[in-house]
Amino acid sequence: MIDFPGVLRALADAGVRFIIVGGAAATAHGSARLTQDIDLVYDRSPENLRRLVQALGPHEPYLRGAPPGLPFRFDFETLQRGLNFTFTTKLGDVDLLGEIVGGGGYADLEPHTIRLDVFGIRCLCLDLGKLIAVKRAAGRPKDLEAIAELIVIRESRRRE
Amino acid sequence: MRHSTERITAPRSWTCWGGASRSDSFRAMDASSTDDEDEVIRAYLAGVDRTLIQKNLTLSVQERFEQLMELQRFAAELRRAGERAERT
Repeated sequence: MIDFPGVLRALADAGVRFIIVGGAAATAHGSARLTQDIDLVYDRSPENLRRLVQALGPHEPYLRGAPPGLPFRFDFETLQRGLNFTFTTKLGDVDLLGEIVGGGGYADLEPHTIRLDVFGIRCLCLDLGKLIAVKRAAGRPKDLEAIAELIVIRESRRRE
Repeated sequence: MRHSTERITAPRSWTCWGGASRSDSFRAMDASSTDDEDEVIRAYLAGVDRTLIQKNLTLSVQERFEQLMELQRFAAELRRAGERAERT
C-alpha cells in the first residue's frame, strides 16, 4: 500500500520539484481504478536530485524486484547516472521518472499540470488532457481501458 | 499496426448511452491514435461504469486519494486471504 500523504509530505518538505503522473494522477482526476504505486516525474537538476535523496533516503528506497542484499545506494550519483527508477520504500512503491514517453521531462510537462492542494500539501499533477495523451503514447495494452475511463471523465467534466 | 490521422466519427445510428453520445467519446479520442487502439478503447468505453465516476467527481481530490488507500488496504487483505486459502 502506498502512503500518499507520507510520500507527498516527504517530497514537499524537502522542496522537491515533481509532477504526479500515471494512475495516481488518474485518481486525482476521478478515476475509480486501483493503482498500487505513485509515479512521479522529477526535475533532473542537480539541486533537485539532492533534495530527492534528502526526501526519500530516510524511507529506504530499494530497487523493486531486485534480489535483496544488492549493494544499492540511493544517492545523488545513482540518480544522476540513471533516469527512470522503480523503488520500494517504507512508504510504498514509488516510481521516479526522469522522462515519460509522449511527454518528455519535468520542464516539458510543467505547462500541462494542475496544482493540487491535498493533505495540506501543494503539488503539481498532470492535467487530464496530457494524461490521456501520454497514456496513448505509451501504447501499453493495459492502458487502453484506463484511457477509456479518462475520456469519460473528461466528458463528464465538460458537461458540469 | 496502421497509423491514422483521420478524425474518428461515429455512425449516426449510434446514439446516447450512459448519459453521453458515442460520438462525443469518439471525438474526444486523439487523432494520432491507431485504428486498432481506437477499436479497443471504443469497446472499453461501453463498459465504463459512469456511476462510479459521477460519485468520484463529487469527492475532493483528498477524498479520492483516501478512497484509493482504502481500496489498496482491502486488496491487500484479499490477497492475504487468498494466500491463506491456498495453503489450507
